[in-house]
Amino acid sequence: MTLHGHLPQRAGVGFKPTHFAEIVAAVRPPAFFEVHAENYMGAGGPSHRQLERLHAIAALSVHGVGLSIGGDALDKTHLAQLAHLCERHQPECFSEHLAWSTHEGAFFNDLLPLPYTRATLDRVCAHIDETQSVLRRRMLLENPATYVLFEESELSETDFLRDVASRTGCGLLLDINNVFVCAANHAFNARDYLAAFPMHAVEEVHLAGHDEQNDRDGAALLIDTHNRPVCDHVWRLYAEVIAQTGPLPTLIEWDNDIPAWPVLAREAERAEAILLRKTADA
Amino acid sequence: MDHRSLSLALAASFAAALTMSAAPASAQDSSKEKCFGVSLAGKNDCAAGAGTTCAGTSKVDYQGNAWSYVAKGSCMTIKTPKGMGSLAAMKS
Amino acid sequence: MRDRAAFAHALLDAHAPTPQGLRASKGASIDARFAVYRNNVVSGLIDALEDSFPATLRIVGPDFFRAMAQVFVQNAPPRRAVLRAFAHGFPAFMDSFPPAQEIAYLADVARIEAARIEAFHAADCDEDAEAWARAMSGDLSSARIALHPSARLVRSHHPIVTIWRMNARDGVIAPVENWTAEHALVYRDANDAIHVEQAPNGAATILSGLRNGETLGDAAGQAIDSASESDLTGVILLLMRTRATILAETGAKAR
Repeated sequence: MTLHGHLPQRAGVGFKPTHFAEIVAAVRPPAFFEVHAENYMGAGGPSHRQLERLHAIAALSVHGVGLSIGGDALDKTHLAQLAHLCERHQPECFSEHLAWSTHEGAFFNDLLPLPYTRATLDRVCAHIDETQSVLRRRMLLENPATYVLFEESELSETDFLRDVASRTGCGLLLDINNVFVCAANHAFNARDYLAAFPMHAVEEVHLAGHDEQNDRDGAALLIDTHNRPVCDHVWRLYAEVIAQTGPLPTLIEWDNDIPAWPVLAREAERAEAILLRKTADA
Repeated sequence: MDHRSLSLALAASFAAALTMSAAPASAQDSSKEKCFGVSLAGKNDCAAGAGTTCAGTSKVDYQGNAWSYVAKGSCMTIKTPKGMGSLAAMKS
Repeated sequence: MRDRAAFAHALLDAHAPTPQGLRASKGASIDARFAVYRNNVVSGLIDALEDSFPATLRIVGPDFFRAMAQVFVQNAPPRRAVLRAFAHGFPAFMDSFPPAQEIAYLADVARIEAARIEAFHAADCDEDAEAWARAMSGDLSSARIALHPSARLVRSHHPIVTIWRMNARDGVIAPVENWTAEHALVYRDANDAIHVEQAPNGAATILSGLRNGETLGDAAGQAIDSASESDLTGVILLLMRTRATILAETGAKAR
């Protein structure tokens, strides 16, 4: 497997084209940018040129949202396009989700939940093996934000991810906002989850904002909307994780109601401050 | 048109085109719309959207005449040769 | 597999029951939790269409647009994870959707919007800026010409360029002075701006001839035979402006 370097152990942001001019003019741009793979699967045009300019000033992470690793057989065309994209831009990192999004040819454009069974584990591992072999690189797998659980689940999510990482050799992407959202939705303790998480395999962290609602029976319901600043609870959990693991590449995701560039840049600086504090300790 | 006159016609048009393209940008620019790449840059993301809003749980029925939505945009003021906007049946 | 089939089916069919085998924490309703997925899938795809077709949205208004988009989403969900491909199929759906057919120009205006998205993402192409100047010394009628990969022609029986422009960003709705058929030429320029122009007379015939590998002379001959008012100068200007590439020239001058 080819070596592709690593994301820096610093803060990055999800790239939005609306911020491009300010990013290239910035004195200290973020240390890395992450883009959604599916938005760069066109043959050419300005989006690829923007990516090249970004990669000249920072590291690049390609984050897939449509491979459907937990679904039926992987879409070979999609996998080939991912390989082409990675070949073309040589990102430092490629990641995807523990979720499914296609079924019998229909694509649902959402990260749908999986029952954590032995059968699911085998299927997910086979698909990660296939992906890593076609892309000729390791990938990271992200823990999902979920709204339902499955009666047939026989493994905890953390055990499931630990097994996937050890069987396939993939790394993990720990989304702390997803942990917080799931903890509220499924009434468990986020710190217990994090204590059980296979931290040795974590190579990137995601932070994002969520929306707080109540479902129609009045139960608290958090939605992973990526449309606002990271909440204080998630910042606290993040600082605790970093205190334990040491610095990790950390991404601020903001996909809806996209803010002005300085707002997003400040979120990244806040993460960077936590990372630097830990680096100074070490 | 025979080949020779066609060639001549094209040559004349080409010469005219070269002259015109050398001139400062003219009326043809009026139709430009700069693409800033925001909405065109792609639509995939990994965020959840609406949460508990009702789009997915409401059913839009379209069976025969059950359609109850009336187009109420600019089509109401775009006057076509066959009448106003959506209110007139216009089978091209 | 069986579980995902039921889950997948219920995502798009609001009348389908919540799939079996789901669990929610104490006090939470499984139906309400499953509805989050339904909403995210359906409204996420509707939002994507709304962002892709702003002029179409303005023509019919948001209520009609979103309802029409929802019927499209639930009957013909995306087949690929790249949503651009999904947007591409929406105009054809409008053609077949009776409530939209009342607005005869709607689907063709939507085709302009779909073409703009494609033009934005189309392949780049090395330019030979001198080729057009060199062609002056040859016989242009025997030249074969490749259109720029971003160039798209949208044919219509309606004044779609006029209507699109009025409904595009900052467009002002005004009476259509001259209700005539317009074909739209959509392309990306060297500065990555996306243009929508009314194709000159004869352009549709000439461009499709060139696409089929005909020489400019043969393509122009067909245009002249089929319509006496072909604007050859306009078409040549258009080819130059859209960065068409001259593939082959001959040295022999027509004399």
